Amino acid sequence: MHIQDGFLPLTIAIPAFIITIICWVISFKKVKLTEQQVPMMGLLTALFFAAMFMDFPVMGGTTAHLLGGAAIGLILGPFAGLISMSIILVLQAFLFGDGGLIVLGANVLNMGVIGVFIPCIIFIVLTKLFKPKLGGGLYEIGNPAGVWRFRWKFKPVLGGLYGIIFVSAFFGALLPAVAAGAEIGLSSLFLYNFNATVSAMVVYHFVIGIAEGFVTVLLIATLIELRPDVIEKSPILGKLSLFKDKTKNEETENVKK
Amino acid sequence: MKVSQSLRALMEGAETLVYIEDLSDRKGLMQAINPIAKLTAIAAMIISALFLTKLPYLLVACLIPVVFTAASRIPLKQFFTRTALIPLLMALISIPTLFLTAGNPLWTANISGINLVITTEGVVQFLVFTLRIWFCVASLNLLILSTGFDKTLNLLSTLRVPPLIIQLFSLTYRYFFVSIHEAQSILIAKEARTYINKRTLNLQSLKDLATILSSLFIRTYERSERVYLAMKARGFEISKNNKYAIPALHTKDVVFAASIIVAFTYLALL
Repeated sequence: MHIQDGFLPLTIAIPAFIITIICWVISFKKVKLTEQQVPMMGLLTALFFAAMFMDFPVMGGTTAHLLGGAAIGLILGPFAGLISMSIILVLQAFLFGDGGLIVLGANVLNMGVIGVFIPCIIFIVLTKLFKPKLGGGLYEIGNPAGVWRFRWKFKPVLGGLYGIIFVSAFFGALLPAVAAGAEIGLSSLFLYNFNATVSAMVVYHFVIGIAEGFVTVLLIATLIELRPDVIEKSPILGKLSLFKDKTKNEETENVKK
Repeated sequence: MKVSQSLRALMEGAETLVYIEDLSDRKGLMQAINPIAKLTAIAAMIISALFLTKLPYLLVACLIPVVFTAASRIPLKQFFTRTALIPLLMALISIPTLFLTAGNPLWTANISGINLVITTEGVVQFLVFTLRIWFCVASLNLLILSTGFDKTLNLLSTLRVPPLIIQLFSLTYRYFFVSIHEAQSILIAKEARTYINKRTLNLQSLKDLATILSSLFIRTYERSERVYLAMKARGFEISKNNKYAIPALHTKDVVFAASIIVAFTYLALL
């Protein structure tokens, strides 16, 4: 999804850089990093940086890797997530040549701002709408037979916490690709038009989005199970009352014991 | 997930970083230039390439990164290998322009009743696009290969990036190698358990990836707690952020950046 130098004219690259710088300044002001969070954020950024080297098969022998925007955003929060994702993108550009120098702003705008903020916004809106229960949702996707059954099954899909995480991560992978496709399509330097670039990106990233959704759900589900304290500290996931209830129940059980 | 491919990618990632550190320590033209002057010059080269539409001028411009690479004692074979992939991919996707661009016919063929015409204008457009991408990738790689991570941190400091963010960059880079090592051990263990690679997207691959990530996440989180205690024991305080040194800008750096800017602006205006 990285846009390379030479793809975008200055008329697109400069505004994208300006928007990105504004988002960086806001995020840096909003994130109040404590002493303990500095090494945590550095190490988790390194982890997601390494995770991007792990491939999974997509189709026709091609492979893709985790984008991680949704996972980073939901666990660290959107502002810290943007900083973390920006560090990854800058290191990818300055160490591996993935992405470019002039288009760095556009890449951070797509994968950092859109890729981290959109999943968080979708997650917040859907949790307010459906008031989710812990777990549930994902396994209800299969075999919808008939309209009534589909409608009946639709609510648990979105209503379950994991269903909401899946939807957030799916759009967290798809929308940055759409944005990248749109920027390249609008570019006077690129050979193909808007429709061609956007549709090419959507088709491929639709499949990646599904994979991203599953991996994010499974990652967060494992963390909820094994290290709920990590999730409780999250500015996004930690605000859900179901985690507070879970912790209270565990505390009550411990007292009873 | 593709275990062998992921292992190779992780190994190559670590190798690349070690290789860059090695190259950036050599005594060469680009290594001797101040990072900010180098960044300015490379940015000017890339920006001017966006305005280059004539093939001969673009070919002349493409010689510059090659000459600078040789003068910086960076092996040309590795340089071309590193910079070839993206332009080749771009060449592949821009093949249709050879046939779709209207103009003077250069080559015609009739294959199964389909009339294929390659035009001179199509060839020029194809070459200009592919060469421009190669030039940009080559220029960025010239910057990467001649600038080690320490100098990159100095560069960020010169660009007035907050020290806390630079510290995060430094921690990420340092623990990237640890993350790679951990990921490799998990992947090797998985491969040793007669793990079967599948060629298409399947739930099992994704479940495996998620399991590895969760395991890595928990280990990393626990390590971050230990790292914090170790940092604290050594007197770490968030208010006392380490200031990274800003390297001095010499006359040769200014002359280098200015001459590149002038030369490429002239080339773009031709």
